[in-house]
Amino acid sequence: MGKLNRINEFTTPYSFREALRRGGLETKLSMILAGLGNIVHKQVGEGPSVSGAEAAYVVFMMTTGFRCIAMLGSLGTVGQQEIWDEVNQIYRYTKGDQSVLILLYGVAVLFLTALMAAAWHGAVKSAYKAECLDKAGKHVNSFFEDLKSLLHENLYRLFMTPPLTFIFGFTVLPLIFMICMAFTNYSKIDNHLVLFDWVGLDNFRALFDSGSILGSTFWSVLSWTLVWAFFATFTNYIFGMILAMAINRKETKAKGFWRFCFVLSCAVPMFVSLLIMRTMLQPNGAVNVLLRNVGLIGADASLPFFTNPTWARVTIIVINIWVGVPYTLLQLTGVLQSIPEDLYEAARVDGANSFQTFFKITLPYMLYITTPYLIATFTGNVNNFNVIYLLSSGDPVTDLASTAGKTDLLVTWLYKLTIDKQYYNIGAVIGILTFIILAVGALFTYRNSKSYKDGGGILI
Amino acid sequence: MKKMRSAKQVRTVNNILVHTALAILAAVWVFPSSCG
Repeated sequence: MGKLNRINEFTTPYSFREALRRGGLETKLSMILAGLGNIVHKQVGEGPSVSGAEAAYVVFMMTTGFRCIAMLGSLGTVGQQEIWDEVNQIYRYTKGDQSVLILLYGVAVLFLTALMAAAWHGAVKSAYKAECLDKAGKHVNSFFEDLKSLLHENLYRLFMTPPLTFIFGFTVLPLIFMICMAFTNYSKIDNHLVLFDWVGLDNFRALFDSGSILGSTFWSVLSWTLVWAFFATFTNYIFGMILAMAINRKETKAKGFWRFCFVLSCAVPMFVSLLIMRTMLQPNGAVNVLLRNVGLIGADASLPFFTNPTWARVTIIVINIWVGVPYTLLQLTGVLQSIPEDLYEAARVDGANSFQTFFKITLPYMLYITTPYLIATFTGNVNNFNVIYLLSSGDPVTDLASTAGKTDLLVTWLYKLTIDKQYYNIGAVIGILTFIILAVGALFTYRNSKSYKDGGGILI
Repeated sequence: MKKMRSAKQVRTVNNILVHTALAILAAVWVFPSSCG
């Protein structure tokens, strides 16, 4: 395979490289004093604004920024101290370092610096453009004309700025913060909740060490997570498909009524349905009481829906079918109705029976359309916090030394580790690993699917 | 002699089976929802 060369469809002569090569003194000086080139070339609005932004950044870095970055190395060393105040006869507390804030501010300052580097790059290009236009005797945009261009040729910049700002501020920044946390000892162990240090890959080593309790719990939870995701995805898909086909048959009467019955469960919020199910399946819940009254189980006996590991796992998968099938039914009804009728007619003329029609037409067509949906559902199930936490809370716990129950997924275990146990570092490692497993798995499957190869993936 | 069923009979039996299954499943789906 030859090397793929990226072709820039929007070439511009005012690039950063050209500014370095052919730019005048004022453009080159703009690399130090941003906006100078613009000021020289009559852009009296843009030039000072850029210079002002640079000055504000420099002042910020001198007063706060450099200190924040410098403290990233140690993450703070001074702990809070208790000092006896002889005069007032009380204890006073000195303000110590807080590693979480140091880490957060440090990451934010690095982020701001990257943003400023991008702005600086743009400012140099802008100065070079002003220089070229001015030298060629062409019109150089004033500040207001530049602002006005945001509603015309630069409209995309206006529209992309708010979402990008929010994505970087509320998604990328916390993500980097979380990734950094995985390389620290930020946890309740040895009291590192206020002051913590960098520990390199120690957390990853601890999690992968199958000889330790943490490591064995990780492998056990990971394998159950994958088993759960597989069964939760495919049982829903197969059951939803059978139901959709049964309702969609030509001979089936009152199609709307049947769909209404199944979709009715969607009208109740999922967490309410799950809590009702949880209550019904308790040792003294409705189901066990009913079975006792009917005489199917002894008067003191109860089926161990959430107390036996195997029962709990099967119960959760079955209840997930109840919760998820209506959604699959709706999805697949749409797909079924979009299969061209002439394909079936041609198959009938050729003498195909219903099984052949299903395996040669319906199933390939549905899989072709829904492969991206299946991948999205699988990844959604790996992170299906609601069903597990609300139904079983990860129980039963068979090993008291372990921090996870037998039905805990990586995501519910992560929740327990961070919220209940305050092992933030291990939680962060699990978050990173979940992301890697899902991203690699989803990308690999999707890129190898027929939907992707034929460019027919329409759902994601 | 083996008695052959007509296509209409087969269709009727299929219809009864499918509608019965749908009715049972619909009850299973509606019952917990109505508890909520």
